[in-house]
Amino acid sequence: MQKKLPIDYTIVFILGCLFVISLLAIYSGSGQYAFDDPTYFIKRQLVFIVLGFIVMMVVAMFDFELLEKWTWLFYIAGLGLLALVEVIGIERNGSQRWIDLKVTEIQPSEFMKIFLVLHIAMILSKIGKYRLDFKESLFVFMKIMVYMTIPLYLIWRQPDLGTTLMILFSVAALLLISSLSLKLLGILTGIGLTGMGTLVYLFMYRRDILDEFVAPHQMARIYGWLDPETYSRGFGYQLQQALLGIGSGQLSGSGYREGYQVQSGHIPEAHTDFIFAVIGEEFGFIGTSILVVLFFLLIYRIITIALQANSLFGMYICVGVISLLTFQVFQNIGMTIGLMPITGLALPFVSYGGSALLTNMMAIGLVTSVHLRTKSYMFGNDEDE
Amino acid sequence: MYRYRVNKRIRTVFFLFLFLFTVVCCRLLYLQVVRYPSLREMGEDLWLRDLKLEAPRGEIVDRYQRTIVTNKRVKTLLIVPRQIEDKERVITALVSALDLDREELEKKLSQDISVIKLREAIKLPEHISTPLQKQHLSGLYFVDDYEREYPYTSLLAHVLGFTGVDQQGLLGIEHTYDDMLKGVSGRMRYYTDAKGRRLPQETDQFTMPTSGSALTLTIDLDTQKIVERELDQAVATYQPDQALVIVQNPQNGEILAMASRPTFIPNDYQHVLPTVYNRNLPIWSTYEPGSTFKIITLSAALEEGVVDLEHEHYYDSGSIEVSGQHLRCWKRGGHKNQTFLEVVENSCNPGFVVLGQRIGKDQLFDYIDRFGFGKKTGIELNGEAHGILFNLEQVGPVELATTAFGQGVAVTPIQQVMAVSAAVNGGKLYRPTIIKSPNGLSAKDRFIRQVISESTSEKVRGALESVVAKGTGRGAYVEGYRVGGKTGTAQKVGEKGRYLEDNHVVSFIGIAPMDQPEVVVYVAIDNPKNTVQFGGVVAAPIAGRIIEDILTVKGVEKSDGITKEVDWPEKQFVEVPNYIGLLKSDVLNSFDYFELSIKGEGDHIINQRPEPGTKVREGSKIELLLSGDN
Repeated sequence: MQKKLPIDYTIVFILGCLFVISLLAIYSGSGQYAFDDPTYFIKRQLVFIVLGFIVMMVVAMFDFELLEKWTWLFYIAGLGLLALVEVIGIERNGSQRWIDLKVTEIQPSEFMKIFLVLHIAMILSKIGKYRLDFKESLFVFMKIMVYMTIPLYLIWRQPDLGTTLMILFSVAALLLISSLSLKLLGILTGIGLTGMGTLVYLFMYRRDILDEFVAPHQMARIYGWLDPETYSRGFGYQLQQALLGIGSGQLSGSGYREGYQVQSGHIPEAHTDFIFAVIGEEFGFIGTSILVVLFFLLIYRIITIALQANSLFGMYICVGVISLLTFQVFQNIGMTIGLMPITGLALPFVSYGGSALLTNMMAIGLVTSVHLRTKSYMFGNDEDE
Repeated sequence: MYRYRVNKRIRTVFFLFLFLFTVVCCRLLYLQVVRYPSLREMGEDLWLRDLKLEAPRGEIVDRYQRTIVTNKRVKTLLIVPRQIEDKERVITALVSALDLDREELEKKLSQDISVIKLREAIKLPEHISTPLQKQHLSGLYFVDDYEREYPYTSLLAHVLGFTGVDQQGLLGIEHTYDDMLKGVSGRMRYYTDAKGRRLPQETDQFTMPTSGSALTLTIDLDTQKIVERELDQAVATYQPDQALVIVQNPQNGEILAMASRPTFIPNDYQHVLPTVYNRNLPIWSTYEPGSTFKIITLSAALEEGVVDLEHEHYYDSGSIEVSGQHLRCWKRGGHKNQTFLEVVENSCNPGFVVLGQRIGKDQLFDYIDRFGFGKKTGIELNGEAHGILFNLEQVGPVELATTAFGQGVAVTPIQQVMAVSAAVNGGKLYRPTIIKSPNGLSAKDRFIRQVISESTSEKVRGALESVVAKGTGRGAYVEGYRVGGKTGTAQKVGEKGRYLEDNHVVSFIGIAPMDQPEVVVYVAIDNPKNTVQFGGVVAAPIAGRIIEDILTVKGVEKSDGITKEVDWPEKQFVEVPNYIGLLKSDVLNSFDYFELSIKGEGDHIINQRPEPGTKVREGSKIELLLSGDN
C-alpha cells in the first residue's frame, strides 16, 4: 500500500481550476432550463466530479502494464456494447448512442475510444522502438485499420460524427509517433491530405455526390458552419447566437450571470455543448484565454509524462489520451467560434454531463498510472529498455 | 538513442497541437477584441425592450360635431415572464380574474418569449383590470388600450361598420377611412439587463402615440335618431323581411340619415350573420322600384313638353294593350276619365304607359341614364350596386311601357334618392355624399349635370305635392307643411325569375317643403306582414312622420300648400264588391278604398263580410275568409 494518494498534483491542480470554471459556467448557463432549482445541474455535476476523482484514483492504482495483456478483452467488451446500442439503443435527436441501464444511461462510444486507444497503443508498443521496413509496417498498419474500422463504422452509423473524427484524429496521432516506416507514413499523410482535399472539392462543387453519403442533418451542420448567416435557422442559428455572445463578451466579459445571449436563452445547450459561449460572453477574452491556457498546461503536463515514460506502452497511452483531449477541446471550442462544424462533442472537464467526465477522468487515471510507474523506475537504466 | 528519437516524434506532435491552440487563441482575440464593435452593434437592439402604446382612434361625429362613435379607455395586459418574481401568485391571480385554464397558462408562462399577450387579457374593462393592477405583481404590465364605444348602440351601424381587436377598421367607413381614423401607436423602449429585468438607471425612450383624426359625416344625428325610431316601429308593426330609409338634402346631395333593418351593434357584430352587417341596404339592394320611378317618366314628359298635366285628359279602362299584351292598372276597373295630373295622383299605370310612348324609347332611356341609373352613384361607401337596366337594343314596345311605370328596371334606393332630388331641386344632379370633412367636396364639386330645367322641376314639385294632398300618397300628408311624394309598390322577382305573390317592396319617396325642398325621404319596407302590401298604406305614413319630425326639429316654419282632400265627412257610401271566388292575389294587387282584413290560409276567397252589395263608407273594413280549396 502506498501512503501517498495515487494522484499527480499538477494535473489535479489544473483539473481543480477547470472544475471551478465549469461549476460557475454551468450555474450561469443552466438558469434557463431550471426554473425551480437553480442548483440542480451543479449539484449533479459535483457528484460526477467526486465520482470522477474516485475513478481516476482507482484506475491510477492499477499497474497499467498489466493491462497490456488484456487490451483485447476491453476491445471486445467495447465492441459488444456498441453492438448492443445497435439493437437496444435509445434514440435522441436523431442519433442512437445510448443504452438505458435504468439507473443511468451510458454511451458506449465514450468507452470504446479509450479501449481502442489502449489496444492500438499495445500493438504499436509491441513492434518496438526501431523503425520497421515498409512491408512490415504495411502489415501492422492493416491490422490497426481493421481494429479501428469495426468500431468506427458502428459509431459512424449511430450517427456520431464528433466521436468518429476524434478516433480518426487520435489514431492518426498514434501512427505519426509510431515506429512505422517513414515511407508508409509519408504515403498515408499524402492520402489523408488528398482525401480532405477531395471532400472540400465535393463540398464546394459536387454536393450531390456528398449528399449520397452524408446524413442530411450532418450536411446541415456543415452548411451552418460555413455560412451561419444564410443558414441562420437551425445549426447556423446556434452558431450565430454563440458568436454574438462571445463577441459581446469583449476583453473582460459582460459580468457573471449578466451575459445577454446566455441568460436570454438565445444560446442553446449553454450548460453542455455551448458552455464555452457562457465563458466567452460573461468572462470575455481574459476568461477564454485562461481556459485555453489551462487546457494547454494540462496537455503540456501529460506530454512531459509521456516524454519521461520509460515504457513504450505508457508513452503511447499518454499520446493517445492527449490526442483525445486535444481533439475534444479544439473541436468544441472550434465549433463555438466557427472554426469547426457543430458536433455533439462536449468540452472536456467543463461541460455538464457525467458520461464524458467519467471517461476523461478514466483517461487521466491511466496517465497518472503511467506517471506513478515511471517514478518507480527513476533510477533504472532506460538505455536497456 | 531511443529516448531521443521517440521524444523527437512526441515533440513534433506536441507542436502540432500547440498550433491548434494558437489558432483558437487567435480566433478568440479576433472575435472578442478586434471585431467587437460590429458584434456589439448586432447585440444592441437585443438589450432594448419595446412595449407598444396604443393610439386612440379618431372619433366619428355628425355634421354638427356631435359624437356618434368614440373610444373607451381599457387596459390590455402584457406579461414579461422573465420579470415575474412570484410565479405562483401571478398564475393564481390571473386564473381567478380572467377565468383561464391553469395548466395552459403555466405552459405559456414557461415559454421563452419576451412579451406575452394573452387573448383573454386584451381590452380588459376597469372592474377586472383595476383589482389585478392593485396587486402590484411584477412582470405584469397594464398598458392603455382603446375600444370603440357606440353611445347609440346600433345607430348608423351599417354605415359605420366595425373594428377588430387591434383597432383596425374591418367594415364600413371604419374600413374605408381606416388610414385616417387610426392613430400612430407609440412605444416605450426600456433597457433591460440580461434576464429581461428593467434597468432603472437607463433612460426609457418614450414615443407618445398620436390619436387618429376625427371624421365628420354629413349625417344629422337628430334626423338619424328619428329614422331609427321609425324603422324600429315599422319592424314591430309589420315584421318585414327588410326595411330601409334614406334622408338626403336634395339641394346638395348630402346624406342626412341612412338606416337598414335588420341591423346590428358594431361591438357585437359576431353575433349576427355576415349577410346582416355586409349589406348596407340603401346602397346594396337592387329591385324594381315600382311607381316611385314614375317621377322619372313624369320629369322626362314635362321636360320634353309631350303632356299638359292640367288640361289634357286620359281615360283609363283598367288596362292598356301594347303589342297584343294587356298591361293592367293596379286598380281593378281603372280610374276612368282623369286629367294627366290625376293620372300622376292616382299613379295610374296605363296613363304612364301613354306618357312613356309619347317620350319615345331613346329619349326615355336617355333621361334614365342622365338621372344616374345603371351606374354607381359614387357615394363614399363600399358595397354599392349598379342596378340593372334593359339593354337598349332589346327594348321593344312592352319593355318601354313597363319601364315607364317602374317595372323591368332594377335600381338601388340611393339611385332613386339621387334622381328624385335632381327632379325636385331645379334639375341639378349631385353625387350623393356622406363625408363632410376632411376632403368633403362642396355641392359645386359634386354637381354632375343639369337633367331637367328649373321650370320643369317646379311642375314636377307641384304634381308630387298633389299626389300627397289628393292621391295615393295621402298617408304622408303633414298638417302645416307642404309635402310632396310618390308611392311605390314593387314586385319582387323570385328564384325562378317569376314575380312572387303577396311579397312586395312597398315604398314611398317624400319631399318637403315643396316650395324649397330641404329633405328627400325614401322609405322602403320589404314584405310587410298583416297588412295590404301597398306603398301608400305602409310606407307613406312612416315617411310622413319622419318629415314632420325633421321639419319640426329644424324649426322650419309651417306654410299652407294644397289642402288634403277627402276628409271624413266627405267619405261616400260605396257598394261592397263581390270578392267571393277571386284569388287572394287579385285582391291584394288591386287597391280599393276599403281596409281589407284577411283571415285563414290559402289562395281562394270563399266568404266575405259585409256581403256583396252592402253600402258602406269608403275606407270601411271588409273581412275576407281564405281557403286552400276552391
